[in-house]
Amino acid sequence: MLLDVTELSISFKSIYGYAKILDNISLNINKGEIVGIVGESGSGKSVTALSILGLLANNASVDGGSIMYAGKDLLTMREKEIQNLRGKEIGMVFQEPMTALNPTMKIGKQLANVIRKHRDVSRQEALALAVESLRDVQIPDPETVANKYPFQLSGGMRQRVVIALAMSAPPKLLIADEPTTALDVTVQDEILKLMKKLTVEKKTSILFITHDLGVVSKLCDRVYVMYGGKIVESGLTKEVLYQSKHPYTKGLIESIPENKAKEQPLKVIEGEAFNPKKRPAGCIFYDRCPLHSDKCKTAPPIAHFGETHWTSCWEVD
Amino acid sequence: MLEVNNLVKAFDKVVAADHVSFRIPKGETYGLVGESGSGKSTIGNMIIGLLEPTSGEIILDGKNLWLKSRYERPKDGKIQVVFQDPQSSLDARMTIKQIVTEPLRALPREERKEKSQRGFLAQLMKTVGLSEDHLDRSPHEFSGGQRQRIAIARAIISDPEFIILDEPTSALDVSVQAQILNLLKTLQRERQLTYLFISHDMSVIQYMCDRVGVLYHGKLVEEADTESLFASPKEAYTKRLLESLPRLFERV
Repeated sequence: MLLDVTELSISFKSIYGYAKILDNISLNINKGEIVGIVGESGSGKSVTALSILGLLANNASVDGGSIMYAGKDLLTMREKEIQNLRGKEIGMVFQEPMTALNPTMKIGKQLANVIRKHRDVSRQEALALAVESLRDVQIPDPETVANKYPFQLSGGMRQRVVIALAMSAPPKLLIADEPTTALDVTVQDEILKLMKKLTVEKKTSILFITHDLGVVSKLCDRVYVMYGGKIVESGLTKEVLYQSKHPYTKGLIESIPENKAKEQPLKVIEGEAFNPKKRPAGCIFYDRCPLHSDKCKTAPPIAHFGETHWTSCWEVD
Repeated sequence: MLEVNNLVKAFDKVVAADHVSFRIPKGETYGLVGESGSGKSTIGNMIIGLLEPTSGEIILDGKNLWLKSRYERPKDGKIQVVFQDPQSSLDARMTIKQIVTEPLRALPREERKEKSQRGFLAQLMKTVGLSEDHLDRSPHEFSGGQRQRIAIARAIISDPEFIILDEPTSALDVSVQAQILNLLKTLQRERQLTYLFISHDMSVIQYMCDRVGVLYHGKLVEEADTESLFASPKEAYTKRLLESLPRLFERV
């Protein structure tokens, strides 16, 4: 196991007091695996990513749990040690490709700088490696692109550069937080194929965070469904998507307009997106769940279906 | 109802709309789909009079909307629009009542009076799935889905016949998107509304639209009724768009 998050709880302090954002979540990633975290706004998926990288804001506090990476707990590690892991062992790609790049530095030089941080090579060699890594992410004419500034590239090209940056070490784990959300579907398609290829060639594991179940279906081996800072269901992608157990997962899939009869209204999950200020005491989905009953006012148990598939709900058989 | 003929919009070097023609019969939904920069919103903006076409015509119910570089407004409130971003399309300093009743300023006095009454507004709020006491609150108290309901209330207060929906659900979570799509369909059925639905999301377009036009670099590369476009796309670009769509059920 490459990454093992156990019973992690995180809260954020604000002028209104503490708000619980992650509640006792456990997840793991094996070597070479692509694991998805899917959820809507406020589900805590991005906070999960940031906590692994040790990048949480100052007002966040870890209330319990551990994040074991290759046998060491990232939560108790000193900042200097984590900094040594970032980029080299654990790479990251965020949603906005514009803000991730330095606007005043040529692409090739940015890449070469990163490569020299991780490897003992000369400036010349680093530049050559930079061009190679651009070729790896299928940028046409990498020599020319290396000589350009970020603003001269399109969004899709920029995101490829960011992936090239993240993969240049290459890392053992890549954390990608909605890396294709801002991109057009045709470009997204190419980026997803590229990431899949990189996991095969470089044996990198990917933790892929998204709100898009279609992307999960296309890319991920396993998936965790998050709602309101809790994991409500997990399993192999095909188990979770095609034999969903949790009412939230089911509702999410039914509310997608894909393949739905036009004459019929879409089935909806009633209510509004999760609000951490109004956290229910028992089951996190209580307010919006069509099946909720009195017993749901206490936290639901975990129900297992075979080795990999589980959900946290009172109402499953 | 709406007819667009050979519409062209050229900015300095870029042609954002290149001889685009389509027509939308009354009560139908026409989808414009394309990627960023394909010219979808430019076309919408020319129809509501925010951008002047370089050439071509836009005809609403037999009347040309752009004559001699002037936008000839149709009957006030006949065309309305709902934008993508419910965070920025509602004025943060206004109450919901002020926001929703703003289009009334353009209407005749009688109608304005009638529609500013509390009873009417309460009913309007109910129609879009909100409640009367929401009228006195401010936008920041609402979630994204509720804000989009407010934007829809503002659009339908003038009893429009034609509404441009410019990516109305793209900023919303899917569970909330479904609620808004259902609301739009219900309103269309009850009020015989005609929609121009602009979106980059093929599955939303498929669910909502009767007919679809595919835009690529300002050109309408393919147009067909929704079923045949999705079943047998003709153009290479449409095929690529459909293949790229991350489908949930493709492995079934």
